[in-house]
Amino acid sequence: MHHGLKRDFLIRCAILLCVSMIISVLIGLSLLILDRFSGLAFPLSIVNSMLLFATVSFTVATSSLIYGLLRSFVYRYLPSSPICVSHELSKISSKLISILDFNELVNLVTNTVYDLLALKNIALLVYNKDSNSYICVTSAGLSITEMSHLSLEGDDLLIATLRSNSTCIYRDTIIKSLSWQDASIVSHSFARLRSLYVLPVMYEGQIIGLLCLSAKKNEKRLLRKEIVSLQGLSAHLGPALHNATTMNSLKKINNELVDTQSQLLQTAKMSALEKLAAGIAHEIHNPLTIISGKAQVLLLKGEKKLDAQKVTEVLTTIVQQTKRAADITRRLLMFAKPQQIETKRLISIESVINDTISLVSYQVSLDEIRIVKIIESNTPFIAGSLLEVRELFLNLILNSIQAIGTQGVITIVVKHIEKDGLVKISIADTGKGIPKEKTVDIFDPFYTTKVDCVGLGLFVSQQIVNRMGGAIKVDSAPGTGSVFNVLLPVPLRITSRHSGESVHSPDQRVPLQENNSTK
Amino acid sequence: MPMSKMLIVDDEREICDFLKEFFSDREFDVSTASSGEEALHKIASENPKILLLDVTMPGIDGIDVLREVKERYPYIKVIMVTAVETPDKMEEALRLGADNYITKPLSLEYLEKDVREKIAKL
Repeated sequence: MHHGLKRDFLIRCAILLCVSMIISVLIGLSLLILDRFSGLAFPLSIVNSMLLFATVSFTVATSSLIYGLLRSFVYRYLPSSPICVSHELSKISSKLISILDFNELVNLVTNTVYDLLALKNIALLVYNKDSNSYICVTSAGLSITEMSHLSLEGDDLLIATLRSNSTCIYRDTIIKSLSWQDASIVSHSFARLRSLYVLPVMYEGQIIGLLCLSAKKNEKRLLRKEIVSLQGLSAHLGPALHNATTMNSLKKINNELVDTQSQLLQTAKMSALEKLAAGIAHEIHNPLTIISGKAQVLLLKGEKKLDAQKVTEVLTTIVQQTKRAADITRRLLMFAKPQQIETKRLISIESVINDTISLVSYQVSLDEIRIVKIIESNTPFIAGSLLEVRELFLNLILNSIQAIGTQGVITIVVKHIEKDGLVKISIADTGKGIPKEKTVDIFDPFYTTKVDCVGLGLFVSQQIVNRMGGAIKVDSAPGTGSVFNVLLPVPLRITSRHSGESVHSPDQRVPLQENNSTK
Repeated sequence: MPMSKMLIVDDEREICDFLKEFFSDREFDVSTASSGEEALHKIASENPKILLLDVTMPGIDGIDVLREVKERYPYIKVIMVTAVETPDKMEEALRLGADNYITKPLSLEYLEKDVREKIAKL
């Protein structure tokens, strides 16, 4: 603040100096002209006029210097002097309207006025529509308990008095102007507010706040000049307080909305978890029942009929069922911890599809299923987790295999839809198809039409596609088969395979060595 | 002692298999069904005395079968077997007249004891 004052002062000095120089030059010149044409009573030479010019400018400069020095002295050592107070108050007044934070605004006002005027205490009360009363929002020089009791009803006589005066009122003056009954009520209100002065904070003709001031610490009254400055401050405070209050309530409403939204999301997540939990229990208890049942059958048989072949058969079942249970938990983990999945990288869809086909090729050849793939030559890379994308295509291809059973064709088509920045992967099967009303249900967790199936495959696939910012849809008709269409976004700046390879920055790992040697 | 006729209903074939083996070893006349539909057919044709009935099955589930059985063949003892113990399902089963409600994984010794108790009451 003092820096600002010093700069102010220097600029003023410079301006004064310039002005005084110009004035003295003008005076000197006009004297010279007068002397030349009409003759003066005293002899005037250029030297004389120069001397005059120097004297005048020196005097003006010195006086402005002294004025400035005095000012800065007053500002520095007498901060509570009336000049200083009004200067600071007017400075703050102009700043108020730009403060939208409610707490910042009210604290700035009360603290500044409290410090500048060296008051015993100060409080700012703001009108509350719900309770039709003025409630203290901030104070200085009061204890917390005193502050919490500070309020005034909207229909208090003091408010009516303020409304008719619409300016700062001083207790002792106002009481004299009222009848003795009213005076006693108003003086009681002043006592409740612990103040001698009350300033209304107005906005559009309404009193939206009260600035309540006590006497100064040295028991002196406020000066007239100080009261005028305070009125200027409260005039600015009105619109600022209105804005900040509006902002505050908007913030509150917004926070409530955000809370409600996150609660809803949590509820949705919980119900998905509940659905999953019931499913997990069911799907894990079945393999466990088989494991424990088979083992109990052997145990309870005793030694009478135990042959090696029977034991091998039971043990094989136990191993298979353990695998089945483990598989369920592994798939579930993908849903439970989506954040833990490896970082995104650029992935070639073609090589993932090739890997997947090689994985299922044995089963496919047993079932007499043919896989046809039509992949455009410069399909761009997509961004995602390799594990997830593999899981996605494995699930979809396994789903098609199961839909076909034996003998059929799976057609995989990969297309780049350049105008939408998407890659479309269609996986069509010649299986039994899905009735139209079930095409939404199939993505539910644990939805399955098969006895030996968990029903998580399509659910997990949908989760993966959603995480990648894509979409998955199914077109199907019973008897003719189903087409699963997966749309995945192409990362920006990558339009073709070749540019894709050149984009690798240090943080974008190169895709794993994806050998295209499968098939 | 005449062999007691028993029907085991579960959509898991492996579960039917070991239960059949276990109870056959203990002189029961056991047949199995892997769906609600099949169960209703076999009940009509084989007239079992006791039913081990899985609750969760695709299509006609255990609760539906129980309702049907208790309406048409109230003398058949029904033991419900479930992987998940959901209170509402359990309540419904007991309301419909299930004779017991047990959860997987199964204790075969307990199951045998329970089955014998139910048959003794016939």
